[in-house]
Order: sequence, then C-alpha cells, then structure tokens
Amino acid sequence: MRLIVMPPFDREFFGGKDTLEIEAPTLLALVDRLGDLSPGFAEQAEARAAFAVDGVFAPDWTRALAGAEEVVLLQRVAGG
Amino acid sequence: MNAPENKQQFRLVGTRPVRPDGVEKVTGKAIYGPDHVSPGMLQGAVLRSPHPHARIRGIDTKKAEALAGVKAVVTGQDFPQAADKLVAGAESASNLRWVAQKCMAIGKVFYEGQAVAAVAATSHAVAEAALKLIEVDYEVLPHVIAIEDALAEDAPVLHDDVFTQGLAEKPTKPSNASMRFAIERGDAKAAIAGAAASFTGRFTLQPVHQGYIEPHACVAQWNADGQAQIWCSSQGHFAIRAMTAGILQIDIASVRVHPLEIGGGFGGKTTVYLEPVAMLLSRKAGRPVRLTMKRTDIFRSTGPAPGAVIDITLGAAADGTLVGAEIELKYHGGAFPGANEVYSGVGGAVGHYRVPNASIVGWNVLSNIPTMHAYRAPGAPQINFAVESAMDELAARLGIDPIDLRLKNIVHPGEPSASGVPLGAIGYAEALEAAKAHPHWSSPVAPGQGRGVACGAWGNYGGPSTASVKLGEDGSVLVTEGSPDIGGSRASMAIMAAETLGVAYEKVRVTIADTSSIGFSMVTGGSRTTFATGKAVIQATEGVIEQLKDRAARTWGVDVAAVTWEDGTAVHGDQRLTLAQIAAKTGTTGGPISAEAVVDPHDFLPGFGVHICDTEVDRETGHVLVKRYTVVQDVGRAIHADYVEGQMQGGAVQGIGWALNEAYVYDRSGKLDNAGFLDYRMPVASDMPMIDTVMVEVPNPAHPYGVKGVGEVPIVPPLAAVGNAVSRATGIRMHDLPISPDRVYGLLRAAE
Amino acid sequence: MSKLLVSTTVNGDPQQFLCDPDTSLLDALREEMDLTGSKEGCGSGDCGACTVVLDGKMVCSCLVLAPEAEGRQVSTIEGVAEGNQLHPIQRQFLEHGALQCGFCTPGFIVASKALLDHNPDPSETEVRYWLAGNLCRCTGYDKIVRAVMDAAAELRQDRRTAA
Repeated sequence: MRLIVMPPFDREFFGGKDTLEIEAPTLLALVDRLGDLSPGFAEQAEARAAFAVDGVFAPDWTRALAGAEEVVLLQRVAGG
Repeated sequence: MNAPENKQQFRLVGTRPVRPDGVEKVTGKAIYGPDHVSPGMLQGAVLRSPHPHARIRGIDTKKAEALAGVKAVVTGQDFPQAADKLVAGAESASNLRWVAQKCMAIGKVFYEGQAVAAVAATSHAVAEAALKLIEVDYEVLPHVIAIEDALAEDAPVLHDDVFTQGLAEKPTKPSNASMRFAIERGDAKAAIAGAAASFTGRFTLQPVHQGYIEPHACVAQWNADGQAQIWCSSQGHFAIRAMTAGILQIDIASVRVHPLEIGGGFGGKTTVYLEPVAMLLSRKAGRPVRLTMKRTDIFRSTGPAPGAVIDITLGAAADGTLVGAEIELKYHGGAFPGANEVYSGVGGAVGHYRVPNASIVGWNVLSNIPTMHAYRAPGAPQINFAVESAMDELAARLGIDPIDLRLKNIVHPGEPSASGVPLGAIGYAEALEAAKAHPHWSSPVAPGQGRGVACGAWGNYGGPSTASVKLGEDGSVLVTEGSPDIGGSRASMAIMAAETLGVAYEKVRVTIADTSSIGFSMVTGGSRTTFATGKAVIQATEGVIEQLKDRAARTWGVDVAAVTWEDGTAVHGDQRLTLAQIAAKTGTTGGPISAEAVVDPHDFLPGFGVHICDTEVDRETGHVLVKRYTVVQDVGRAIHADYVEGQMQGGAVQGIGWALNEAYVYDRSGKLDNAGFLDYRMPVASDMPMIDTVMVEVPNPAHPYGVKGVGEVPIVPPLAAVGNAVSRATGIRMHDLPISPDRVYGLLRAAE
Repeated sequence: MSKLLVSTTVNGDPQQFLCDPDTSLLDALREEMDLTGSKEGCGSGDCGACTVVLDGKMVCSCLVLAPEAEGRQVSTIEGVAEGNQLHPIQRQFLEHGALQCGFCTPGFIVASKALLDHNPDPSETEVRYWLAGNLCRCTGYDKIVRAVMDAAAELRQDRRTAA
C-alpha cells in the first residue's frame, strides 16, 4: 500500500519523504506504525491528521485497509 | 432574487418558508448571550493589559477584595492548565496551553487588551471600581506588531520555547515564525522563465475582525459539588464545554452548557475567552457570575483574521494555460502558535486551478496582537486576493477575457483537489458559465467605472453531529439537534425533516439542546451544518419512518417489507394509515416513537464562487463606490433559498468591507488605535448596492438533498473582485488593502 | 451615590425605576425593566442595535441617560407588534429572510418604523441612508432594504384601503 504524506507531515515527521510503502490492517494500526517510524506522530495525529483511502475521506480509523491501494495523510483545516 | 426552478421532485426543499425562530427574533423576545439572567447572579468585570508585551512581576488584589460588594477576584494563578494539551472540538485541535492564556495572562502578557485579572461583585459599578484597585506590576518588554518586523533579526522573540515547525532540520533558536508549510510540485521557476506572460507582485493586507454585532457574554455557575452550568452564545456549545472542562481540569459530564441565541460569529465564536474566567469567579463566590465584553475588548482581545504579506509570480502560456506559480505568503499568527490559516492559504492558493509547477511556501508569524481566530473561509481570502489579482493581470497581458482565462485553467471533477484527494461533483465550470451568461457581465461598463471578476473556493466540511426526531401524540414532529442556529438553520432542518417524512413544514418544530440533552455536535462552522447536521436529522427521520411502517404493519398483521411510506402515510395495498393516525395509537402499539442519529460524514464537497463587481472611483477624493455586484456560486442544492442567498450576500459584503475599509491600525506603542465601530469602518447600508445572486445547483450526490455548504465561499472572491474593478477603473494595480480613499488618492496623484 | 427615581412611559405603559445618575437608558431598559429586546453592540452609538424612539425621535438608547427619560415616551422593539399582531415591517423581515442571526434586527425594525412613520414612500436610497446608523454583519443589507420597501408599500396600501 502506498502512503502519500502531504505537508506539513512529510517534513515534520518523515524527513521530507512524501511517499512511503507501508502495510497495516487498519488506519489505527497505520498510525501506530507511523508512530514507531517517527516518535510523537501518533499523539499529534489524533488531533491533527485526516486520511483519505483511495480518494475517499475516512474518519473512522478502525476501517480495514485490505485491498486499499493508496492512502493520503493530510492536515485537517479549520473553517469559520 | 434568482430562485432556482423548483424541479418538482421536492415539496419543500428550495422553498422559502418563515423560519421557526423568526417571530421571537423580530419581536425582541429571543434571548442572546448578554440577555440571560440567573437568580442571584453577580456582575463580573475584566482588567486588561495596557501593554502589548510585558512580564507580570506581581498582581496585588488585596484592596479590590476588601471593597464592599466584591465577592471574588481571579488572576492567571487561579488557572490550573499550563501545559501542552490538545483538544478537538472543531475541525482542528486547540492547544489548551494557549487557549487558557487567551482567557487570562499567565505570568506574561503578549498583547494589549489581554486579560490579567477579573472581579465578580454585586453590581457592575462595584466590579468596575474594584478593577481600579488591582495593582499589576509590569516589566514592560519590547514589542513587535508587523509581520516583516517580527521576522527581523533583532525582533523581540515572543516565546523562548517556540521553534519553527515544519522545517526539515530542527531549528536550534526559538523564532516568531512558528510554522512553515509548503507545497512543491514540478519546477515552478523554470516553468515561469519559459512562460509567454508572467506577473510578479507583492500584496499586503492588515488584520480584520469578524465584526459580529453581539458581544461575547456568558453566565457561569460552578457549584460546591463540582457540577457547573454555563449559559452563553457560541458557534458550538460542545466546543465551549470541551475547552472549559479541559482548561479547568474537570469532567466533561460535570459541565452543562446551554446554548443561547447567537448574534453572529463568522468563526470567531468557536473558542472560549470568558467562560473559564466566569467559572473560576463563580467557584470562589459561590454564585452565578456574568461576564460581558465591551466592544473595545472584543477588538483588542478576540481573534482577528490575519494580515498578510504575499509575494507571487504566476506564469502562463500564450493561450492562457497556467504553467507555474511561485508564491510565498506570510500570515499574522498573533500572540500564540496554533493559528491554522497558513494551511488553507497554501493549500487553497491555486487549488481552484490546474497548475503543473508550483512552489507555495507559507509562514505563520507571531507578534504582539491577539491570536488569530477563524473568520469565514479562514486563510483563503488573503491569498485569493493575490492570486486573482495576478490572474487579472495575466488576462490583460494576454488579451484574454478574464472569465475565459479562468475557464481554461479550472479544476474539473475527477482531478486532484488541493488536498490531493480527487474532486467529486463540483460545479465550478457551471458557475463560470453562469457568470459569463449573466446580464451583468455582458452589460457595457459605465464611463468612469471599472469591472472586476474573481473566483474563489472553499473545501467545506462534514464531521460529527447528533439529532433526534420524536413524534408528538398528535403526529406533530419534534427535531432536537446540537448545532446553534446562526443564520436560519432551524428552518433548513425543519424543511429536510418535513420533506423526508412527508408532512407540512409547520408540523415540525426544532430545538437546539444543551450539551447534556443531545449528543456531541461539532461547531456551526466550516459550512458544515446544513450538510452534516442535516444528514443526522434526515437519518433520524428515516428511523422514525421505519418505526411508523412497523406499527402499521403490525396493526394490519402484514410483513413490514410490504408496507411503503408515501406522503406521510403508511400504505399496504388499499390500506392506509396517516402519521397522525399511527401517532395517536402509540399507547397501544408499543409506546412512543423516536429515533436518534449520530453521524460523522466526510463525503462533503467544496464550493466555488464567481463574483462580478463594478466600481466607480472619485478622482477628487479617492473614494471607491461599489455600483453593481453579482455573486454566482455552486451551492449544491439550496434547502431554504432565502438563507442561501443571504449567505452569498452577507459574505460578499464582508469581503467588500475587507477590500475597501476594514483594517486594524496599531500605534507606535503597540496599541490598537481603532478599537470601535466608528473607526473600524464596516460596510453600512448606504455603502452598498443590492447584491445580485445566482444559485447554481450541482447537487452533492452524497447528501439526500444535494447539500454542499455555502457560507464560506462568498467571502473569498470579493477582495480581488473589488481590487480588479478599481484597478481597471484607475489603470493602477491595487496591491494593498484596504483600498481606502487616502490610499487611492495617493496612488492617483502619484500616477499623474 | 444615591439612586434616582425615574417615572417614564415605555410602550404606552407607566414605568418607574431606580438608577444611578450615569446609567444609560439602554441599561435601564434591559436591567431594570427586563426589556432585553434592545441590544448593546457597541455602547458608543455606532451600531444602532439599541435603537429606540424617545418622544417621536429615533435615538441610540446607549447614548441617552436613563434619568433623561423622566416624563417622556419611550418606544422599544417590544412595543412594535400589537399584542400578537406583527407589524408589517416585522412580517416583511420574516418573509424576506431579512435576518440571519437576528441580533441587529430589533434595532433595524425600530429604525425602519421610525422612517416609515414620517416618510411613507421612501426611495431605496432614502432607506439605505436612514438605516446607515444600523450595522448588520450577516445580510449585506439587500434583504433588509427590500423588506422595508415592501413594508412601506403594504402600509401605503393599507392606508388607501382604510381611507
């Protein structure tokens, strides 16, 4: 599975890498794995991160990732 | 007044019934934030810093406490929350360490007007007198206001523990640049170097305020057993609860927040300023305490929207195709880190166009002004002013019609959005075609006037909402939700429930319940309420319909699968039972009927707008008059057409005010010079023409009635629409906002 | 500081209240008489949310001292409807969707009524200038101006019918 890491997470946590090959059964597990790669990410993700799985936003992180090709990790943006 | 043709597939969606809360609001009966009274209530008052930057050496409250009638005094030392802690409540999280200091300074003040102490007393006069008896020992520190000044080598650094976030290398020195956020793709520099036409410019904007007319106000009551109630107006009482409980370190379930009617917010009422202070005063005094802000406090201590310095270069091929964008934007962040505007500023800069090569770098810059807070499409209008001004210049240089230039470059369904996620059923092209076909666009420009056009977008949002639908014994319908009604949303909820159920609009009554009476609902903001809370209402209504069908099926002794629901009636062959008939029998068919729905939808779609503006410039005085204004927007589908048009008109006029008049003005000592409505000049009725609206309806397939969200988009294009109109009227590019008479006068004289 | 006893007439009813000499009429209406329909948006006469009519003249009640109301007639938003019968201006505001948050609405309705009481047939420009002392941040004024123009037409029609 391909993980596209959008700014600012790419620089902030992954040394500027914007694409990672990574496998995880769910988004929750993916967050844990990313936390192992970059300590501190998991805590920040809870409050700041959003995921889109194959082009669809996925607010439920228990969602199974079996068969998913691409996950995008992006910053949540506030509205007024 | 461009009502869409009612396509007849809906009875109520798209119509304009009177809002359920209307009579209370036109007769003065509605209770807003400053109107609530609790028995035995004390009056509070807040002491605010006269200095923009100072260390608090000490605060002596003894004399104030000794004054007859004073029941409590609090300072920053009474605040338990001092460490980093993130809480969600809106789309993005807030760090309570900073939110607490927006309520009261803890050890240091970072802007003029920051609260340093508060008093509760038996009358307002006593509370004000007590403030004068509080002695604060300040060590005044050097301050900095402007963006470029705050980035200078020798600038005073506000926080010694704030390091620039978002750099590949972890910085070793603290900085006022609290965050860098960038999007890079392709080779922008090379693409622009090879472009047939390019435009380079620097654009500047000053901070502006949301300008809601209702002051922040609350009443808090914190009892000895630890349970508390708060009565306040806000865009989301669940966010007020989360932040207040978090700052004061008490259980969520112990804080019950009652939503009062809200007198405008525009993003500015999604956080706490007064509530934790009133709570602390109440705990000390043992009585309910009211706090209300004065207008000058609102300007000095609540969230403005960022000023900005933006450097932009856009390049296009001879046929108008955009080839590259190089942008650096610096936004005010205010006193504390955490402002979000840079994310949307960078992400949305050219998100509404296909630009293969882009380098967009954004910086959040701290200085001694209040921390930025969301204002309608936060972060988008500033960068849009620069991008859409540059587009206007490219159109002129290439000799291409400005709408055609946009049509050539816009994003289409299926293409990646700014966030990287593919765009769904957007109606951007449809909106541009509608603008092009509008009589305003084809009418001749009057002599002495200029016409500008600009486009803009906002991502919109979904997120969590809860709603319940209950049937009265007579078949009337009660909808309960947790989203404050800021602009007619009760009417939209009633329309959607009535449409789904097949009953008359007047049969549905809507209540916005307190935090202990309905489940979590995110703030009314982000253009999410009609979409997300609407989905919750529809889903709960469908749950009620299932129960109604089940009652009918059991009454008839048939399989529920054989029962249909048509126009408010259960139908099985020739047999029919109306909603009222079923409701009347609930006592003997299994009890009351109600259903609740909790949703968290994320299949929202962005909105796109096109604004056309005609201005006349008085060459003697520099005064700019808006002569004609048209707003075209893809609204998904309008549920209540009046309130959709109202969002488009209101957003446009806020944007026009931002373009022409509004700006924070600081004096040399770092004090806000225009902290009142006389000097902070918002548009008034005589400044404005009618605002024509065209609702383009490209429904969102993920919403039962096609809702997309409309509130934020209309503030995005006006800055450039006005700027482009004035530039075309004068022949001088407008780079700096506001386009005030003195500025225009100076530019006209300089050009002579 | 001893309080002053003020006797006045509000929406046709006799009222007496005690106040400090520096209390504003707005605060007296809101705090002493529980008439919270008049709003404070600025306290400096710039927003018009506190608009009332004092002896036939439109004023910002935040700029009037409460003792000045002694012996005079005050009309507020609470007196615009007759019982449960809405005034045509109120009805037109609802029918046009001329309010969003509604906080400025009482001031606009009182000001609009003051306009139509002395000018039954205002032009759009006259409406816009008359209401220039009332700030609305939600609507952009379009629907408010239309509501007032339509209310004026309705009132003219009523007068013709009555004549």
